[in-house]
Amino acid sequence: MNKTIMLMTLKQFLNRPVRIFVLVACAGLPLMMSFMTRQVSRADSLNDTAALEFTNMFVWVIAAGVIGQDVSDGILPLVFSRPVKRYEYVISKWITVSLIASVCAIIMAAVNTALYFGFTPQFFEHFKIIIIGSQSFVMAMGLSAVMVLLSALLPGAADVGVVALLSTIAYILMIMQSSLHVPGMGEVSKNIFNVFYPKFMLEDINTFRDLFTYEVGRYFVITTGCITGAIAILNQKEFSYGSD
Amino acid sequence: MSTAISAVDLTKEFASGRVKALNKLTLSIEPGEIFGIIGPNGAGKTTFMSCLLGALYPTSGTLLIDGKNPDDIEVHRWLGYLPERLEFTKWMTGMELMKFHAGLLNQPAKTPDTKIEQLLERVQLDRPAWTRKIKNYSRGMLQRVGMAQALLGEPRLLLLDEPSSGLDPVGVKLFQQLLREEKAKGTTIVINSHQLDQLEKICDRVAFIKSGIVQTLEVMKDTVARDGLLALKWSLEANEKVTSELVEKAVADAGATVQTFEFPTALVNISGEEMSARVISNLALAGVAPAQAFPNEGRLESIFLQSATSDSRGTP
Repeated sequence: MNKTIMLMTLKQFLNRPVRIFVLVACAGLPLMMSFMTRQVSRADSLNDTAALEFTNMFVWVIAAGVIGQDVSDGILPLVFSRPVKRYEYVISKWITVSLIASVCAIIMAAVNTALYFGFTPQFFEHFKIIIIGSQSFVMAMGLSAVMVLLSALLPGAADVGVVALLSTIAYILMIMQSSLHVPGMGEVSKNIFNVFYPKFMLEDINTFRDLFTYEVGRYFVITTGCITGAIAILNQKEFSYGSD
Repeated sequence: MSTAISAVDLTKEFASGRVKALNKLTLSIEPGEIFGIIGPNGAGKTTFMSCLLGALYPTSGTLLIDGKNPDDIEVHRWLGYLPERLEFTKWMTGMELMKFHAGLLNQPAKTPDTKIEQLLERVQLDRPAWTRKIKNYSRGMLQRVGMAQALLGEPRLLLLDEPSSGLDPVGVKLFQQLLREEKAKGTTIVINSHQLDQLEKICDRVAFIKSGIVQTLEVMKDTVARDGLLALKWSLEANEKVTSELVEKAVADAGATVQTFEFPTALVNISGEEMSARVISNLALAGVAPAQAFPNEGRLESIFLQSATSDSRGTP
């Protein structure tokens, strides 16, 4: 990992006001709705771990064009003129995007809990920082690995377009299964989600043996496969910095 | 003396071999040399520079920098690069860009702020611009911060693409001075540029590339002594005194020939700077000293035009 690339990725994100706005809107709207619902009916529409559901959305916003944008902006020839190995660049970008998404999930969970309990002892009882932090990091690592691979293949922020398109197809297939009862559609839809949103639940890991399950294996195969693929693609990629 | 850069039969093909940007290019650059690369558009200059940078991989042939592959991480520890398209991370300030590159060099500790400040001062980037975002920089300012980042880490090899484009005359002079200072430190400098008059002033050797091969390789001190045209201009008040006969005689006595004379200007064919000085001195002795005397066309420019109009094998 390269600290300088990680810091650049973070600053790059912080210097994109549109993305920050989208991110705040993604987290802020459900929080506001939840807060208003509680004021009216005392019902809790967002539970303690609801922020986990938003982790994928955070990754979408943060990881869009994580490599492709740098390629399109033409900054990579200058970056790679320095003693930076290409695998270092890919891994640093991947880890940073996952960390930012996890931090966003933690902040969302903290705000949600604070809106409900204020900063009382109950806040610390319900704010499950370790569970949310570690589970969102697992989820973010999975999806951002997929996005890093797509971003290494596609220019600009086209990676998020591909993930969005495939997610839409998966949803349509799911609806076809449930409403039209088309056989097999649900299975295809589930597989698309499993590949593009690789994850396993940490709460299911209670013993060492639980690490050797199909879900955990699938997660590691997809995640490492995507990152290895992204490194291989970037190693082969040629950058011409201008025209004669 | 060992070779700093050695290219042997370097070939780079694009579009499945339909386009040959470099066609068995063979070239060697000595350590501590300022080496210019010129050629028409599409000649393969940028492709060659991209291969040197390790950004493009040659299709065949060998390219070595101090005996190592250009994409060797060791090479990149002492390589400084100024791109033609200044695609810097535009949201950074000049100072942030410098710190970012010091970080990429893995030497933030060895590159304290004072060192960065010295470099920014060396390229004469205005102090208020240091903390301004790069997206607000003028072309000249980008060029200056680009040169400053290229000089980070005291590079042994500098790859510069159009270093003086967008610079004002003061900036051009400054860059020439900077390159001379770097050369004095033993840095090998490769410049890709269309500013032939500037290359003429600073380069030790210049390669003319066309169709992916080196057509001519000029040693600049030899080039300076070559044939050329001297343009003479007299003041309008000297109309009565300056006659065709007087000028032709003074020029002939210096061993040169008058190509054209039409008062107040004349073009004289000369061979080298000594002859040029003799022509001017003879004219002064004859009482018809010109108000201005200058090379009508840069010598590199005439080589460029001559080579550019010949075919790829150098036959006119």
